[in-house]
Order: sequence, then structure tokens, then C-alpha cells
Amino acid sequence: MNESDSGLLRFQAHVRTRRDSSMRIRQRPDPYAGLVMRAKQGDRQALGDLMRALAPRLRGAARAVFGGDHADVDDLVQESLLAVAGALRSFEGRSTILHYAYRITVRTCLAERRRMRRRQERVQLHESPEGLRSPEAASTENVVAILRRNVLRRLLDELPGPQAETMALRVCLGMSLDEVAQATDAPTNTVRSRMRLARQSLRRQIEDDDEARDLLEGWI
Amino acid sequence: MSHPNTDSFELIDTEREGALDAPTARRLELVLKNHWPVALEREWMFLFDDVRDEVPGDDDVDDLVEAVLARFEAKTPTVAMNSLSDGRAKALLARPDGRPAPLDTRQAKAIAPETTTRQWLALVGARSARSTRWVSAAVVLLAIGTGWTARGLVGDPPSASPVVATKALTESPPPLSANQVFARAELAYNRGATQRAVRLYRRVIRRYPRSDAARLARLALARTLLDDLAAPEEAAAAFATFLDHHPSDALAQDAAVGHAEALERTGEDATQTWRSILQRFPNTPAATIASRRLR
Repeated sequence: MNESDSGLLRFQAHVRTRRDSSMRIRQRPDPYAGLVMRAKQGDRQALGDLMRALAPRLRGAARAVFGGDHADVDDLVQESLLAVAGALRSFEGRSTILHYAYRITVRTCLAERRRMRRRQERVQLHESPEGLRSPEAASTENVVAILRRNVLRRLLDELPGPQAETMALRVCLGMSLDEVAQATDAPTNTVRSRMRLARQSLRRQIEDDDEARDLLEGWI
Repeated sequence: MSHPNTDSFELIDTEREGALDAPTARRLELVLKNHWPVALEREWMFLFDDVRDEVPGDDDVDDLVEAVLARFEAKTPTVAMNSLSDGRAKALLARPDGRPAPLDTRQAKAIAPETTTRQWLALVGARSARSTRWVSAAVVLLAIGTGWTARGLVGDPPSASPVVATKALTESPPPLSANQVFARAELAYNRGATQRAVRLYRRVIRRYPRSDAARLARLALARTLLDDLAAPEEAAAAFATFLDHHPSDALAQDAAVGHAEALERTGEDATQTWRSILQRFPNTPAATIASRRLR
């Protein structure tokens, strides 16, 4: 078996065993459609149940896009859930509510990263990505993997809004092209075009960034 | 073959669905070999799968959801001043520059949680000079027109965070001071949102480690861990941290007693710790407690 074969097998096995979230969210109909309908009619219990169902998933999404420590992630999730609750009345069901909430979370996280950069807290943000300093993370996570993820987050900060959002939904949240199109309410070809432009920008950024190139050695 | 930037999306999606057949796998392999940005994107997608996996504690969302529901339902997001002690109300009313707001605590307490800008300014106006009333009246009209609330005059509601959620909320609040974050932690604690309070205490300590609020937060965190969360080991460490940072502080004796109590609850023998309290803080309430425990 040559090297490329083993690579493909590795990822096929990975997909079979992990059943990642991008596949779970493809379920139709929307498993939360009933809760959404009741919540839109003002049922507080349904709204609470919906929030409770979404919150753990949004925590994972916020961790992926934002990195950072636990307290910040929970703040972002809280803001995202609040925005979801506020936007529920205008939610038309063109995507699942989870897709919709993911998009809001991605926007929230990207906005917060940019806001932090504007406040020149970049050092704090980038020095401790994903709790790199925490012992449990360091012992269970490959430090290189953490740094590589952080390279993408940093590069996303430089992309125009729609491209960054599309890239984050697809790469950080593992959504398929169609799922991104549904979540962003954009034609699939528009998503494809945004991804293409984002790839070109990332390529240029990586070629100009020695640190990123070093961290991604073996991948590029 | 089509341009890789177009085709590769479907190839990667097919692979991630586990639906690759042999010819498609060969096409994907060819694309990955020749176009490193595509290969990089694919590697990143798998790398990020790990971060999204739920971790212990992710299901613990009750505090979070309650906070969201409370904020969502608050038509006029104001601070529940009635529930605050004097000191906490003052801290909460402090402006970002650290100066106290013009109202004293008794007045603040008189304001109902649902106080609107009109009511708030009416109260301010009642204690102001006649000329100030005209200014207040003008501000009331402006506030009614623009939808301000009392919250806008004293800072963000306690459950709010500095995070901007959507475009509708893009007016970034000013950075919270150490006192403001600590006040929010206290408010969360009083409301029973213990986990959130702990997170906020930790945030004060992390972001403003040398502030006075961080000093109080260290002790409050340790006490909360011991009394409310039944985490004596963590509490012992937190008390020890306080004693390391503030060995000669007026609250050090409280921390020392807490440390000994926490050690006892972990099952350790705390006799030596109680004895050291007797020596270090003679003729204090801490010494009284220590001698009682040693009997």
C-alpha cells in the first residue's frame, strides 16, 4: 500500500467512525422544527428547550472559530443564542435552525476576533490559542494541531467578511458546499466563488508569512 | 479535468460523506497532489472536527440559557438594583472611569428593575437644581425618541458581555473595568448563577490580576468553590493563591481559615494549618476559630 492509499483510507475510516457534525446536521426534516414553531409563537418553555439543544453545539462551533478560553467562548455562545432568539420571528426555515445558529455564531466570533484586534489585544488572543497553556489541553492535544488551527483563524481575520464567514462555516464547522449555501441563503455558485477567492487570498497570505509556512510544513 | 477550485469542493464533500468510489478517489488524489491550497483546506477541515467535539461540561448549559432568556425577555434591560447590597450597588453604578454615578445607593435601590429612562431621569431631576431639570427633560425626550433605557446611563446589564453579536448590536460597549466585571460576578452569584459567577471571578483575576477587584475575586472564587460547588481541592488551591498574592492583607486571615477548612474537607489532616493560623494571626477571630478546631 503506498502512502496516498493509506491517507485516503485513514480519512474514510475517520468519516465512518466519527460521524462528524456536518453529517449530523444534514438530517431532514429539521429535528428542531417543532420547537422553533412553538418558540416563535411565544412559548417560553420551547424557547428554553431550543436554546438548551443548540447551546452545546454552538459551544463547539465557537471554540472552533474563536479559539480562546472557556469564559470567552461562553460569552460568545450567549450572545449568539440571544441573537438567534431575537431573529427567530424572521426565521423562514430555509435552512435548519442549527445551520442558522451556526452562521450567527460564526459572525459573532469573527466580529469579536476583529474587535479584539482593533483593541490591540492581539498578543493576548494569539498567545494563548485554545488554552494552549492549560495542562489538560496540552496533554491531550497535539500542540502543532492547535497552532495550525490558529494559523487559519489568524488568516480568516484578514479576509473580507463574506469570504471569512463562508470559509469558517466550511472549514471550521465542516459544512458541505450545499449546507453553507443554505446557511448563508446564497446560491451554491456564490459560495463556490467566495471559497475560490478565499483560497486565493489564503495562498497569498501564507506565501508571505514565514511563520505560517513553517507551521504548515508538510501540508503545503 | 475541470479546474480544481471548482471540482474539489464536491470531491472533498463526497469524501467526508464516506461515499468515495475508486475513480473519484483517484481524482481527489490527483487534485490534492497538484494543488496545495485544496489539500490544506481539506486537512484543516479534519483538524477542526476535533475542536467541535463536545467536551465535558458542554451539556452544562442551564445557567447560560437562563441568562439568555432573562436578557431576551427583559424589555427594558435594566439592573435589578433592589437585590443589591450597598457596596455592590455602588460598584455597579460606577462609571467606566471609576467615579461613582450621581445617584446614591438608597436612590438606586428605590429604582425598580424595570425602570425606564423616563423614571430614572425623573428621579435624577428630583434631586437636581431647577436648571438641571430642563436639561434632564431634554434628555428624556431624546431618550424616548432613541429608545434609550436607564441601562444606557449606568452601563450594561449584568448578564451582558463585551461581545458584539450581530450587526444590530455593533455599537461596541466600552471595555469593562475590573470593578464592573466583579460587580457582575457578584450579581450572578446573588441570582444563583454560581457557575457564571465563577467564570466572571476568574475573568477578573485573569484580565486585571493586580487590581483590587482581583484581590476580592480571588477570595470570592475560593469561597464559592468551597461553599457552593463542593470543590474543596480547587478551593484549597484558590485560598493558597490568595495567601501567596496577599500575605499581609486584612482578608488573609479569612483566606487562611478557608484554606484550613478546604483541606479538612479533602480529607487531609489540617492540624498543622490550624496551628499556623494561631501563630500567624494571634488575637483575631481566625485564631479563635483555629483554637476551637484544635480542641
